[in-house]
Amino acid sequence: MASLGAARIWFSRFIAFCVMGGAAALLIFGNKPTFHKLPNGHVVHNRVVVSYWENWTGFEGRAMTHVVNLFNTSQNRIYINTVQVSDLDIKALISVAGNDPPDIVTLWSRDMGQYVANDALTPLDVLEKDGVVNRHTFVPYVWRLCTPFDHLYALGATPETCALYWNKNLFRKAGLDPDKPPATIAELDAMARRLTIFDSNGGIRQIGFLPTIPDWSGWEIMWGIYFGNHLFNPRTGGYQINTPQQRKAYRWYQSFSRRYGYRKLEKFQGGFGPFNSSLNPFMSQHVAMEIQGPYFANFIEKNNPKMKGEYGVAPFPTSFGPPGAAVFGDCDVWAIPRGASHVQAALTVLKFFIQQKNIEYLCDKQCKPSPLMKVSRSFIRNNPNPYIRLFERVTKSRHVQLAPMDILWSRVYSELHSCVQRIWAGHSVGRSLARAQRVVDRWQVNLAMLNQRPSARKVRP
Amino acid sequence: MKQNISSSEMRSGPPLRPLMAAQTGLPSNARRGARGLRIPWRDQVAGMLFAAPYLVGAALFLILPLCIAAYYSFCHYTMLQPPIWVGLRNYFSLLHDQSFHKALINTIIYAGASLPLTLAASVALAILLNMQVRGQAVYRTIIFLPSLVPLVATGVLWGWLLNSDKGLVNYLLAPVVRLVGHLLAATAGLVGASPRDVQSLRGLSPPVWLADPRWAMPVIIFLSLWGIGQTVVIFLAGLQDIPRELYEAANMDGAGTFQRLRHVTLPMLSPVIFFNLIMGVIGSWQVFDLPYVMTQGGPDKTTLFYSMYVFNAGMKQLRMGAASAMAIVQLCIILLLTALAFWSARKWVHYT
Repeated sequence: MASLGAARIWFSRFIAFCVMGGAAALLIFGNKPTFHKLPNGHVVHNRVVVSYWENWTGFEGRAMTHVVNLFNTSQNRIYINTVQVSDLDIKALISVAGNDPPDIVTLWSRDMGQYVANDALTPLDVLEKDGVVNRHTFVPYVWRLCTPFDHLYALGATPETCALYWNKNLFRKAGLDPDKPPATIAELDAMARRLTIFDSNGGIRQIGFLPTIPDWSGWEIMWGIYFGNHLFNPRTGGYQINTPQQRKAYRWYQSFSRRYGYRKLEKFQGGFGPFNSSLNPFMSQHVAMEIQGPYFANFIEKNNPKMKGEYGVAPFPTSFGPPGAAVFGDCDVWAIPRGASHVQAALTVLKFFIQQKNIEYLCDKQCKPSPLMKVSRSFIRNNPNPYIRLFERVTKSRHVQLAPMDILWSRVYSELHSCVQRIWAGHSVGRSLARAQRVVDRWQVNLAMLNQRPSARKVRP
Repeated sequence: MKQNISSSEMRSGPPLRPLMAAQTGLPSNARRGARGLRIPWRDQVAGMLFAAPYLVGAALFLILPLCIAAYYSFCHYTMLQPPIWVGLRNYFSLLHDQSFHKALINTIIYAGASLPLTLAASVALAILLNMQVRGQAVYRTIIFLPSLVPLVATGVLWGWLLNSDKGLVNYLLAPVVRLVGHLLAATAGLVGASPRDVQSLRGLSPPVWLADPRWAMPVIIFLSLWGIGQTVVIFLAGLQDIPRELYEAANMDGAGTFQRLRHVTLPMLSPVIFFNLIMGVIGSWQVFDLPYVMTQGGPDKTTLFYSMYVFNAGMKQLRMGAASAMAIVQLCIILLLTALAFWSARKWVHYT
């Protein structure tokens, strides 16, 4: 009896072992689940999920979401999971470093140098090889931006070239011709003086123009280009910070704080909000002229629709040539980070994004010109930006200058930002620029010693 | 039945061991502890298991990152490329890095000003809150409440309060400053100052707090007082631990209020002051949140602090090797200051 009981026990143990073993084998070797549950609760069946990190929010984000939805409904193999991420430039880099990047990421042009030099992007040469894109697909500066070190690393999304916005109503009140913007820097200064109004206490009530507006942190470091300077020389790989053009530019820049008083201007600017809010000084009619990108039309429409038709846009004047002889440009681009899990699917998505109708939809909703050379008539005709023709022309110009595409740019940017703040506070222009030049030169020498110069680096084909 | 054994009993040598074993009921095969106490291996394993979560956590998230940071501090490392050994180059480059010098000086100024300020204010508030007055609990709550607000929210809040044009602080200050300006202008007019000077005095306005290099740092130092609630509570607990008899004896000796503070309260509170001093030194060398939210290091790096510069170098500029070197230097500075505080404590901290 005892042996029968023991046999039963062993038999039941054997059955339990078989059941558990079978379950484990099923889990390990069985079919993988055919669905993905996304963080937003959506369940996707039988598709490759491409994760896409983007930085647009609000109506700009909604425009991109529409394009993404178009893709998701256009086929049943790939699903794009969009994640809106703040501080995307830093977080995407960290995700690459952690070997868990998204499949597609939106970057700004100023990030390109650092990403490419650190080998953080997957080259997209295959798209060029397959004839999907070539140098005639995108406008010149966007193509230049996407192809650093002779490889295609990104595809242009929405270009942003800057121009001068002026308030016609304030021009009229100041006795100026509302249809005639300044054609030179000297004219800009003269008009700005006439448009500046003080209150009874000597405080500033309205100002004609201020080079510290808009409040894009660090933008002020690019003023030199309107005086003929090229901040970065790609041939020598050197920064041109302390040049005669730069000194001229920043003497002009400093002249505003000298003329009106540093503290008075800081107080005047203290009450303004971000460029995309109704507290922007141009929209609240505290500033008569402002340098801005094409998207500004959208924000004027949203925050102060009464201004529609009451503002004009023209190429920004330069000190050395006609307006538009130098243009500061930026551009959002799409790229595939290094280590992305679904490169082939991501390439398919990018091909869809840059189809003319999709990219025109996106640019139309964001009031920006198209990054493509070929533009449909309906895009121009129906665009909500009343100055889209001008921006199309400016964007296609060969005078567009970008932030330097260099591994050191992020550090140089920070140093120059501080240098410009010193100049604004009244320090010597020559000494401040010379000091910044010395500092940056030393970094470049150190970097060269480490053999980490982007030009010396072997870029992954 | 197990009983507690005092250290003096344990130190008294072998003759007591059989007695201890009998008292504690430990088995004869138990291992000998650090002071001769035999601990059964099961208890030892249990003890290790209980301590394991902390030990594993500390090893993984404290010791290991520290060792890795120390290694990277000798490398050129961008996080995206394999580290390149450069020896002491990162440390030597700090000698020529002007931004690093600026951040170091700013942090020294901040620590030097905010630490005595917060300690003095905390002690003063704790003494006030220790007084038997009506509504004592309400006052204590009011003092503690700001420390419950997250620092980022505090930064945004104070950013608006100190806004030069629309801020509440300047709104309240403006009439006062204007009045003072007019009075000064009148005085200057009487003593024959130039019309331009008189005019500038008339146009006197409140400071542009966060955008003016002269004011940004004092503002950040002043705001370090915002979160002193927790320090005050610790001081309050310390104050309540001081025996009443000491004050009674001081009273009998004819000591006044200041003398009681000087000779009773502060000496008796010195261990608590010492603890808060150590915590304050560490905290002030790690200041990050408020200046990062309010000024981002500006204007012209006047509020660029050490931790912010480490963050910028590592995360924004991908100079993880240099950032690691700076972090190691920071660790050494904090260790040095802590050691200095412990050394000086022998002279002014009184344990009773």
